[in-house]
Amino acid sequence: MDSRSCGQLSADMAKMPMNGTQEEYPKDSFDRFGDDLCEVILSYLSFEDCFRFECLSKQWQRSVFTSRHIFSVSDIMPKKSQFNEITDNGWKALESVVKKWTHITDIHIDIDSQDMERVFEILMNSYKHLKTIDVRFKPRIDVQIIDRIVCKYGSLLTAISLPPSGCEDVLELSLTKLRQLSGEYCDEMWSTIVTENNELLFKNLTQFRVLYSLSDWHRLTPFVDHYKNSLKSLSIRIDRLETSAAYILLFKQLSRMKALRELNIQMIPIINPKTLETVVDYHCKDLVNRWSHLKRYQLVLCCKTDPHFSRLYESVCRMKRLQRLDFFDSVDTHLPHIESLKITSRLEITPTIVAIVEKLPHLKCFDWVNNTRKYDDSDDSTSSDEYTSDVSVIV
Amino acid sequence: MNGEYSLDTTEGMAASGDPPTNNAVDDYDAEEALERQREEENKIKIKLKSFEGGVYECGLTAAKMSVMVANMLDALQETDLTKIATREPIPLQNDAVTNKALEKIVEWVDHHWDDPPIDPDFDDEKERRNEELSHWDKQFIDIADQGELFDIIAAANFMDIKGLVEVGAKHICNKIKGKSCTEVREMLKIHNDFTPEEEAAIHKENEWIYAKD
Repeated sequence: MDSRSCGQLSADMAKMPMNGTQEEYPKDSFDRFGDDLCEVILSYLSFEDCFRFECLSKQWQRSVFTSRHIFSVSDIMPKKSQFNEITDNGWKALESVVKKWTHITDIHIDIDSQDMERVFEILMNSYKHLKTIDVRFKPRIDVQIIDRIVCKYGSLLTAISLPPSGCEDVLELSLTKLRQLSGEYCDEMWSTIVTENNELLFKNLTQFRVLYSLSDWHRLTPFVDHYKNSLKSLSIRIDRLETSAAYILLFKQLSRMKALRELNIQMIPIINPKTLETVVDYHCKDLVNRWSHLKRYQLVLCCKTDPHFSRLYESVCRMKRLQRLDFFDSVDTHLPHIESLKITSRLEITPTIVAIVEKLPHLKCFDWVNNTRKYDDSDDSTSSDEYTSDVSVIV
Repeated sequence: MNGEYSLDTTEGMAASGDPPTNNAVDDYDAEEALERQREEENKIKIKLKSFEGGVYECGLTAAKMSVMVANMLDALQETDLTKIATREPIPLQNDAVTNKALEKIVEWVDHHWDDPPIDPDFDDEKERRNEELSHWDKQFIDIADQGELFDIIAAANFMDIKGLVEVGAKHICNKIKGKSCTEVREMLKIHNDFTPEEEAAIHKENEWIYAKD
């Protein structure tokens, strides 16, 4: 075995084509890079820079558009007048993009007007090999636009987000076309996803965002039955439920969803202190043990007292796989995988809290109240000092 | 208070009978074990040899961030990893891998070897691409000598260290952001191989970028 030495191996490697370095170019010239590497580098250019720098050299012209696969329309057409109309320049931009960005496989588009509907049509006619089509309809959009788009392209869409309620009657028919949906579905109304006969409209979702109220109870069971082993991300807003029992039944159903990796729970504030106490108690004693598979967790629950806060926080710390926690109060235990921590509270940041946050080994982003501070976790003490000073600025 | 919800727990709920997340717990143990193994392996040091002949030591897990090095090590079929440490240095046969470049590359992988791997559970490519470089990476890649910077990027590309190529790429794209074509050509020493007519034609196609509306 030892007869194959490193020397021989690297001789083999040397025969492989070398990317980049060629003798005729000076070392500090970008021209030394081969097309492959050039494409990778230029894929990080901003949208506008792509077009501005196309004329730098023939290599740039060849490379600058080829490694683009994702097209986020909102990044590209922000220049709209106040009437939601796209300017002439916007149309020219679109024409250029469609002509030059020929490798697009993913489209993300926010639709809020007839003009955006046209943009979407143009994209659908231009790109025939799309893998992801993510359409977000914005609030106050004309329901007829949604209806037209869903009727015509519904079978192709992979993710959709509908505006809050009020349109389910108009859309009843067209929504049945959305059977290909595999990404995110987002709607305020359960009735559009679970029919009267408790049949599910979409069977392949991986992400779902919804509002839950007491009247949705009978719809929850078929939903969980179908999705317990497949849904990865759930975002649920819980309307005020009458009794603590109703909350606990809901949680029990949700904890059957073993494939979940991301869960966002937002509760409309619970007023009855006894109900709140029971919900907190159940969360701490039972729920977190059933949710040890979660990697991202958000809990928005309005608590009035400190004991609630610290008990909830302590219980969350038993969810060892967490990478992201979006929470409400005191940081006091070590979560080994946390990369992003968001805390919404009116508490003061004490030195103790700072010390604890600094101990989190993978923390990259720390968000306190509304002040976002990128916290770079590095071994040298300089960044910790910087961070501490940031905190004092917030306080 | 306990009574209040124990009333409902028996109410025909399949949920309460489910075993608590055994799979997930196993997964977690496996991940933990893998992490410990990576930590142990990184204590084994291997030697890398630059194109200019300089030899640099590097943790095994860190060195494997280079897909090329990882493949070479796999090809050795060495089951006793500690033997790798006593081997002759692995030569890196590309003129971009200078002493300086290799020294910097070893510094980078030594800092990043324990980065959490990309999680297949979340499709974050869009987010990751737009993420700003960390403070450490910014300081690392801010290299005054452009020849040296380009050596590192070309060497990282040759050694197939995706993360480091990305750091270099983001750095270059940040530096030229919003600059004029003439400025960028001068900065990156790019030879303009278009005729004035060709260049004007491209410029005209992309005119809309410069329009203010």
